[in-house]
Amino acid sequence: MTIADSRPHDHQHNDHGHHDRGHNHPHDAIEVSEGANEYEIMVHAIKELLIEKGVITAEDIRKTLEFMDTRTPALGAKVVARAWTDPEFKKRLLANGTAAVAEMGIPMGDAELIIVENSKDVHNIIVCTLCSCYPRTVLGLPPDWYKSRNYRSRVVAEPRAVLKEFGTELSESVTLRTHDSNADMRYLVLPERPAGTEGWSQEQLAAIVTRDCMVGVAFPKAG
Amino acid sequence: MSEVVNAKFAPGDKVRIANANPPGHRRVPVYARGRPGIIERICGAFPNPEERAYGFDGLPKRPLYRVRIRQTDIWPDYKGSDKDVLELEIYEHWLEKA
Amino acid sequence: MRRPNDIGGLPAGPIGRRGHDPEPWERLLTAIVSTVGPAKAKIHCLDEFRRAREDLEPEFYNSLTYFELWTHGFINLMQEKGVLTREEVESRAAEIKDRLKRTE
Repeated sequence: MTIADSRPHDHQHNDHGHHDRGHNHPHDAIEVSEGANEYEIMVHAIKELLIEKGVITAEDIRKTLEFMDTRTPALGAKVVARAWTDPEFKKRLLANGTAAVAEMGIPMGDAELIIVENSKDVHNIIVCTLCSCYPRTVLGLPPDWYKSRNYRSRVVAEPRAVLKEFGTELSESVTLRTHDSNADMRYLVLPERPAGTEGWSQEQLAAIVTRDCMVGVAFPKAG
Repeated sequence: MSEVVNAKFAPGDKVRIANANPPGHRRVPVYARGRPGIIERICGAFPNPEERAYGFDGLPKRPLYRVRIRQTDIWPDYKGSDKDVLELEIYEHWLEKA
Repeated sequence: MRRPNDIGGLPAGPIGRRGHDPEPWERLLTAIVSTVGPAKAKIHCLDEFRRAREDLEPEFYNSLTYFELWTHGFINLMQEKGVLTREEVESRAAEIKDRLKRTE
């Protein structure tokens, strides 16, 4: 099953004169919006200069954006659902995350993927205190809170308090593993499969695996 | 991930993260420096990011380990279970046998 | 020595849950950095870009939001690499502002 579909779209791309974000085709060139702030303008200035100087082309940027668009938490959810229903795959996933997701057509690129498994005795939570490293290839772009100073500062020192803020209270009998993604590894939490999902298809299971579950701040719910 | 040749440490080894304070780009957070831990796994060997950050190729590759530290060994008033841990990735040159 | 990004364990406040979907210009910036770097042109690597952000003066660094940090770090890195200068960017930004005014 190939997740990434890189065939070009076979329709025209016209630069629209209007800036109605709601109608923007995702692969149109991104234009400066009305009321653009100084940073938006700077980014467009950078883009124009880089293209004029031949460093990159507009097509290069479009291809990158197109690839970025295919990276969403749905990919991670598919991996989790498969692990929940296929014990041999789960073994391979825990032994070598990078190779296992490659089986599903998800290329990790330069980073390596490590899957950390939740159980009734162990809970895992992920952060990158030094910047905002995140398994983008299986989860897409990180949410603001993950990149925030407050999350990055506090989750290593008081992870249980942070989890409580997210509405999760861990019992003292559960060991909490906090992973600081500070070098070449990227992490995905394999949540526990909740009760009440017996007999569910992989699609049904994937639908209850949210991004927050795979970062470790939430639990998937059957109901 | 290929086998790492000549890795100094093995999973289960007790190590200490250097209490070094070098300038420039490092990927060992200040909170982890000087802490005792155990090797959780060898991640592989990678070019040194401390050198890559300045335009060098970072070669030869160096072994990268996951180190598991007890939270109570990092934070004096840690609130949680004594069994709670923090795990992060440390290059071999930042580690010494404990 | 604590660089401005090395904040693990520092006192901090509640974690705001209300985030935002990335603005088009933020997605564009993400794509540009990736394309100039590891994804295509390989002008720089990820470590260099991180380092360039961390090199910003701490007071300035702490005043910036996430993508503002990326913008300044990237401009500085590109200047370092001899690809463009901050003056060029500022000059072009002024031109773009004029273009926008003229179409009003």
